[in-house]
This record gives sequence, structure tokens and C-alpha cells, in this order.
Amino acid sequence: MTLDMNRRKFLGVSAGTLGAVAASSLVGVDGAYAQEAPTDMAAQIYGDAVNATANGDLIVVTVFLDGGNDTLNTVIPYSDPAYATARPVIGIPANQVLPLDASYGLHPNLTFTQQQWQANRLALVHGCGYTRYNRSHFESRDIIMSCGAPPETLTSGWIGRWLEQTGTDPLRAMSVDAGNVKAVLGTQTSGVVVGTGNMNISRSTAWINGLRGLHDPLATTATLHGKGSVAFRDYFSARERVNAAYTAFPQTVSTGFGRDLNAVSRLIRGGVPARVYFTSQGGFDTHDTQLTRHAPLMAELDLALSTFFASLAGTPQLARTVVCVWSEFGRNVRENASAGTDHGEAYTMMLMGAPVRGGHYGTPSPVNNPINNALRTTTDYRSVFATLLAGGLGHDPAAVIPNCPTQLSFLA
Amino acid sequence: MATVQVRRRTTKRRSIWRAKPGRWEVETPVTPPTTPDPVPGTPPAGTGTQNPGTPEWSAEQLTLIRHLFRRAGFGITAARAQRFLDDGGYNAAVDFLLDTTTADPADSIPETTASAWNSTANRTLENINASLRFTRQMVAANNPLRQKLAFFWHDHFASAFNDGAPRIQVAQIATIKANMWGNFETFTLAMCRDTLLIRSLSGDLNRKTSPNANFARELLELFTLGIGNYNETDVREAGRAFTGWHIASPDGPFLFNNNQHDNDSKTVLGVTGNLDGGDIVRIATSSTTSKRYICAKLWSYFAFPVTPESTVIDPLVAEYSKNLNIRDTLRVLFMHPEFVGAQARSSMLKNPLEFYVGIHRAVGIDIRFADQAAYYDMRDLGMVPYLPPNVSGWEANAYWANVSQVATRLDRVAWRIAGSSPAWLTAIPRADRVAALADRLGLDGWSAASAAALNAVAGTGSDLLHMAFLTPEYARN
Repeated sequence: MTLDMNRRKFLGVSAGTLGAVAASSLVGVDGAYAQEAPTDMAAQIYGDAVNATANGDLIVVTVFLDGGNDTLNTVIPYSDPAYATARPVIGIPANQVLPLDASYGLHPNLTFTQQQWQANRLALVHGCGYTRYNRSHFESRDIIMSCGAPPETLTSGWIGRWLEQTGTDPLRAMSVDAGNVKAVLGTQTSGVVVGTGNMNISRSTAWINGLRGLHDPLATTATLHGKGSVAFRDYFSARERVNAAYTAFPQTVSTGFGRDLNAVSRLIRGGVPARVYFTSQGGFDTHDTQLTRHAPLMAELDLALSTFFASLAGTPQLARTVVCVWSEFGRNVRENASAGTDHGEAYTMMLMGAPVRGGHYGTPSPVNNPINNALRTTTDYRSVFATLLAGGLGHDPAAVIPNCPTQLSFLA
Repeated sequence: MATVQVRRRTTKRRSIWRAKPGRWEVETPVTPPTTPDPVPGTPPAGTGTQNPGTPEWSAEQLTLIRHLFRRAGFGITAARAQRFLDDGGYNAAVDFLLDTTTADPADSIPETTASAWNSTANRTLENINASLRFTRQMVAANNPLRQKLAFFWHDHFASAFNDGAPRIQVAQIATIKANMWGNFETFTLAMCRDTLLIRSLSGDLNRKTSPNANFARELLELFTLGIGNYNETDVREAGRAFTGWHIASPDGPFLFNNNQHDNDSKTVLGVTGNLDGGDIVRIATSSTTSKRYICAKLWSYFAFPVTPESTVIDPLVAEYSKNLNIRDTLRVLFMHPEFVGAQARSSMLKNPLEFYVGIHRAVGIDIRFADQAAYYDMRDLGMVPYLPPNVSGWEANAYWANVSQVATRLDRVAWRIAGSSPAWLTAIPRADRVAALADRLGLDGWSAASAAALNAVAGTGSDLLHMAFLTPEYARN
């Protein structure tokens, strides 16, 4: 049996089932396959058909870990004695991490993410941050979503500026079940915010047509009031396409963050023209009892990602899709007295997907040399978005990011 | 510290979205506002172009009064506008709005419970209730300018509320409301001693030996001068002047810590001496730059966007320069011919809060405490009192003309509020409903296209209201 046929067989399982079942139970259906990739879901997903390159035609899916994810318990420098010293209660013991190499391992619940690493599809960008943190959620979100040159923030977000510099269809950037976040706001327009279900209007067709009709179909954005009517026109256009995609690809994950990434997958497969998606998983502000609070979040994230990539397996969009995991800041190095961690600074950004060249990027921020108990910034976080804008979206990053930093090489 | 979780799962949210607004289950009964007696002896309006007493004058005055209440409030019904007309016209309306002393129903809206603001047990709900209380005050206000002006200054002194205890949020708005009509130097100084503002701008970290200029930077950039009207040395030196301007505890009162105060000489904006924070406020607010900056900001909020260089604000600057008095300056603003001119009347779109409060007032429904649906409506519209997007406050006008705003207004907010299908609307004969609705919403009328589309759905009150909220006419402010 060829690999390709196996992959089709594999894809016969629905994405929802796939995610819920342990990876090991998926193998063994075919001996040859099991030999090649025992318990390895990522290898199965990518198979041999994906030879992706970042040719400027990618789909960028951003996953924002809301509240400030504890990077040191996510991408763990398990062999550094300073790590164990700083975290006597909440440190993950070396024998429990999912090792990546001699220095780093992942949280024990990031099994699929470890497989992405083994498939050479996980890039870790260390020490991402900026200078002059005040460690407020509010201010840090505002800064990183705008991608201004620190400490200045801009009133628009990096995705929103890309959107309005590159075309007129607002459906090219979407926030899925994450609200009207600054990242997708431009100066004059904004990406489209949707939930995980159809964009309904709870009125009759005649009513809806009446509403469409009373907004001037010839309105332009040349006047303020024209912009209002253009927004209505864009809404109806977006609604038709989003609903068509959601209808063609029904929901297969109905709980947790997985539902949000499932919605993104449905939109991608349904042919919605979005090139950038914003999603968000909440709950990462772990000031206390972190061990019991953080582990389920890691499991939820990993499951959402595995289900998402599995649902794209075998589609042409798999080779075009890159996921970027970010947060407003990392957390402090030393745990606090409540077995939690307080607001920190730099953290490790993760990129994954077929177009990603796996490995370590940036300079690891030394655990034994923190700044006010936080990891120091060694990499301008904006260099990640500059790379995604250039290689992923085919756009000049300097047009979006003022004082634009050098790009990284994590895209294939 | 705890933060407001600003994100909720969709299933939870969905069920809330679909809940109908609470029908008058209110702590204080709220009816559409009524006009109090006007100030006796108010002379007839001078504003306008028509001869007083003629039908043309009346029609023009009604249009101007509607415009005034869209900007200085959240709209006005035709019936109420007529009462101002009977009492002297536009000038009577301006007098009424600038009356800062008469008791108002909005003042008596209780805090949920006095002790709740001090609790840490359910901070998320308390934060929600703090926002809802401010919005309820806007909905219930007899004199809407008090709430609208308070929101303007809340926007101006925007603080990171999500890190603060509800009581320090509520206290900051109380400080704003107590100071916002008078002398701007006094007002700014009160704000510099505000717990939340100090805390959100790292003022409590500003010590003699390790100065932190964040507070001073925002004071100069956002609160008094505007960006580019000072240099980095001014920021650093002003920061030194505010060393020791601390708070007694994270949620505690202002505390001047003399041990942490730098008593050496500083030079800020050309003034040298042993300056402290009060000196910086005086130097900054008394500068010509600041006078033009503040007047331009007021004008941009109420009339149309301008820069501080614009000569249209010269009459405001002249009045403001006398004693930095905000109320007197607002009177000049509202009586300025350009405030009621063609440019002003075509230069604004309703921001989400104006839309949200406006439709509540027009329909005649209140917001309840603990009504999370109302809170999430405002959050997803993009404007929640106590939750500014950043230290420079909210955006205006074209910023809100986008698909997401349409989606949230269309299938969420307008749908929900129209669902109450008020009896007053269906009591009107069908043939008259569309015209009556323009009166109710404070509009000057409908375009032919809007009137036709509305007439087609006028048989059902909720259908009619829902569509009316989404017309280009109502989108304008």
C-alpha cells in the first residue's frame, strides 16, 4: 500500500474524531505505515505530498494566548539548572517534558506540537519582546497588536494595515470568535469579525432586501457617510461567502478553542479569501495554582492544533497554511508565593505548518540573567510578523511595520 | 491581580445575545426624559438665519435643537424639542444643557450595592456593573451633556481600568464629574492625584532615585499639550517633579511621599526651579499650546475634527484663556455659528456608544445591572465605559464604518433592542409610523429610499424599529 493511499484512508476519519482520539490509536491500521511513522500524526498529515514554499501566497493563522502565556513552562529549558531553581513548585521535571533536543522540551501536554517539531515543521523564536514594558495586559496588547516602533503604539493593527494597503475586500482578514481586536483594525477599515456560526439576520428575506436597498448602491468611500453605506455593502458580501463556507463544511468540533480553529479550517476549505486569521484562546493569566490551570490550557491548545492540521490534510491549502502562536507577554522566571507566575516580558513565539522550516530562531533569553525577574528581550517580536508579511503574504513589511526589523528565516 | 476577562465562549455569548432586553425590571423607573422648566427670562434665540416668530424660524430652530442634542447628548424626541422651541428655541436648550446644578434622575441611579465596589470576590461582575452604571446614567439622564462631557473627559484621561478595583474606577469618574465644568488646571491637578491614573501610568514607581517618566509623558502628550509640543528633556524633568506622587496602596488614596521626591532644580518648558507636580500642571495648562490643544479637542468632539491651528476655534480659545473655564468655553462652542453650520452638520457618524445609548433613549428602555448581554453588546461594538482601547482613548467617525460594526449593530444590538416592540409605536396608525419614528429618533426626516423601505415593513413594530436603527440617516450624528 502506498503512502498516498494510506493518507486517504487516514483522511476518511473525520477531523473531529481524529482530534479526540489518541494518536497511537490511529496507527496500526497498516503495518508499513506504522513503521514509517509510529504514533506520529504530524508525519501522517504532511505525508509526502507537501513540498511547501513561502511564495507570498500563504494563509496566516494567528493564535493569541490571551493573558500572557508562561513560556518557560511551554517551551522548557529543562536542562538549565536555573530553571529548576526558579521554580521549585511549578517547574516541570526533566523526566516529564517532551524533549526536543538536549536543551529544550515541551510541556507534557503538547504531544502534537512535539510531532510538528519532529516533522521539522515547528519553529521556535526565542526571546520575543520589546523594550520598556510596563507589564500591563492592556498596554502590552495594545503595543504588540499595533506593531508600532516601541514605545509608540499606533491606532491600527498590523493585520489591519496590511489589509488596507493590499486591496479593498475586507474579507481578506478575519477575526474568528475573538472580537473586534486591534490587530485587525486598519486606519480606515477593518477585517471581518465572525463567530463560529453563520452570519444570520433574524428577519425575512424581504426585510433584508429592503435594508440592502436603502443604502445607496453607488456610495463610495470618498465621503464619510458614503463609508457607512460601503460598510453595509461589504457586510452583505462577506455574509454570503462566510455562510456558504460554513454551510459547505459543517462544524466538527463544538467545544473549547478547537471550535475556533475548526471554524478557521471550514473557512479556509470553503474558499473564503481570507489570508490572515486572528483567533484567541483565553485563560493564561496564571497568577496562582498554575500547575492545575496551565496543563488543561496546553492540552486544549494542542488538541485544537492537531485537529486543525488534520482537517487540512490532503487539501491544497495545507501547503499554504502557517500558524503563529503569540501572546501579550511571557511570565516571570521565578514563581510567586501562590504557586503561580506574575506578568513578565519576553517569550518564545511558535510557528508551525508545512511552509515552516523547523528549528530554533533568535537568541535564547538566559534564565539566569533576568530583568526584574522576567526574561529579557533578545528578538524584536515584530521580526516574526515582518517575515510573515514578506514571505507569507508577499507584501513589503516596511510598509506595515515602522522602523521594520530584519526578517527571520523560519519560512521554507 | 485579577483582570476583566474580556472574552467569552460563543455558546455562552450566543444565549445571551438572544435574550430579549429586560422589560422594565429596573431598580429605578426610567421614562423618556422630560423637559424641566427653562431658565426664566431666556431671550429668544439669536442663532439661526430666520426671523424669530416665523414658521421658517420654528422649523430651523427645531433642526438646530436636534443637532445640538445629537452632539451634546444622545438625540432628542420631536416632542421634547418642541418644548424647547416654546421656551425660547436653541438658546434655551443651550442654557438647559449648561445648567450644572439642577438635580437629575441620572444622579440617583444607585451603585449596585455600596459594598460591592470594595469586594474582590466577584470583580468581573463589579467591573461590568461599573460600566453599566455609567451607561444607565446616559440612558436615564434628563440633562445628557453631563454624562456626555464626563465620557469625553474619561476618553481624554483614558486609564487602564481593567487592572483596577471597581471602586477606584468609580472614584475616578466621580472626580471627573466633580471637576469637569470648572478650571482645567484644578481639574488636571485632581486627576494627577487620582489613584487609578497614577497606578495605570506607573506613577507609583516614580522615585527620586529611579525616576519613571511615564506619567509625565502622558500628562504632556495626551492631557495638556499634544504630541510634539515638548521635548524629551521636558518629559524627563517633569517626571522628576512628580517623583513621590504615589498611592498609599494599590487601591488606596493619593499619598505624597516626600522621601521619594526630588527637591533639586528642574527645567520644564523653559521654567526653572524646584518644581513639583502642581507646578508642572500649572506651567503646562497655562501655555498657549495647551489652550489651543484643549479647545481643538472639545471642538473636534462636539462639532467637527480640527487641528489646534484651526482658526475656527479662536473664539473658544479667547474665552478659555480668561480662566481655563470649561463651562464658559462650551457656551461659546455651542453658540459658535460654525457649530450649527453645514460642515458641522455633515461631519460626524454616531460612535458605538452614541448609537447604543441613543436607541435605548429613543425606544424608552433601561439597562439593568448585571445585564451581561448589554455589556457584551457594548464590548463587541467597541466602546465600553471604563474599558478604553489604550491610553489615547477611542477613535471617531470613519473608524467605525466597517463590516464588524455593521454586523454587531445589525444582528445583535439593533435586533435585540427593536425586539421590545414598544407599545407607543404600534399605537400609531400604520400610515403615520415612519414619519413618527423620525420624530422619535430626533431625525430631520427620511430620504425617499429609506422612507419607502421603512414603509414596506411598518406593519410590525420590531421590523420597523430594527431597520430604522440601520438607516444612513440614523448612522449620522
